Amino acid sequence: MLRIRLMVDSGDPFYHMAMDEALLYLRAIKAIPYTLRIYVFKPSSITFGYFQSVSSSVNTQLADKLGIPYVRRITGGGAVYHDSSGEITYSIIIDEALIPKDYIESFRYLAWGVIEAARFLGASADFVPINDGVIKGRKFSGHAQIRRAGTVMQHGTFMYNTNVDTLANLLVPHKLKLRNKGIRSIKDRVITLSQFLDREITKDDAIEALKKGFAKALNASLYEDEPSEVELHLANAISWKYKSKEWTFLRP
Amino acid sequence: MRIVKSYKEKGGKLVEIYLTIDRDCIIREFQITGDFFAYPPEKVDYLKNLLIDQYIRDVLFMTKLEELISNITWVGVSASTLLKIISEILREGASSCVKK
Repeated sequence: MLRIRLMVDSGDPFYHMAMDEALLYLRAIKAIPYTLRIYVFKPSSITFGYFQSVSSSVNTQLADKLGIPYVRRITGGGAVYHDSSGEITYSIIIDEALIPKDYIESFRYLAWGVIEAARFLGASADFVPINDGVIKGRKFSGHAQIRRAGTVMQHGTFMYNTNVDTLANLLVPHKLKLRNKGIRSIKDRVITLSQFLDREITKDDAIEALKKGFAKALNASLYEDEPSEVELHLANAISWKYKSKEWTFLRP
Repeated sequence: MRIVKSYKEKGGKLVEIYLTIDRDCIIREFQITGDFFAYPPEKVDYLKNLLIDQYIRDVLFMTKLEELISNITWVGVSASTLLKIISEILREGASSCVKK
């Protein structure tokens, strides 16, 4: 059975993205144990994929007006709205040798904790390649990963009660994506656990379900811990990048 | 002149390529954007930097381009598809560019 350190965390998007990157580097030099982080964005924030054009994927005008920060990730994938009161993010940092070699299978393997969490709550969730967690064909979870020096860091979302109207206003879908999926709006494509189950799922429910889900999916025992001083220092040092205009507008 | 090409395979990810050429047929902007995954990601930036500031006709048959694209692991779009789109956009740029 794997032993995985669990951190339950909260902070702004600069901190979260920097901490995920710091943990990736520290695990790559074997300075830290396998780590699962379950975290909340405060304030609500947007993250978008490393290869995305910010203006093509985020309604920056509205985000600025609402005071919602938007941050480029080091991982690929699409733009995400992290609702403080309706979404929990996880990141898992583990050796590449422990996951399937095939990239899509590795997404599934590491995302399975989220699928199990949704099932614990009573939703008939499943994983759909390339990187989606879905309930009845609608997305409630997305996943992205990066690999460095034999280590993988995958992070992903768990929408338990996201405000989907705000999400649809803040994220800009490409017309090709809407056309390919045969939908008119992002709202037709997403669902939250609370919507599906027709009852309010709380943050605590979601966090507990994620803990159980990952322990089951990875056949792991989780032990809770706080970030170390080294991790906080490194994350703090890296966070300048995520706050910089150069990084955000790397692909304008 | 700016050319934009968008592509999405069924079940795949979105790829959007931007090419800007100046009046002297020099590539000023080349961006591969989208929600795909690439391992390692920085090789995509290397690819971009390889093309920036080059005379567009000089890059049309660049063997290094093909080599670089096939040495990246793409998830959500295939290397062959990507090479096809990049070749198309470069050819389109070259054919519409007359050096002053």
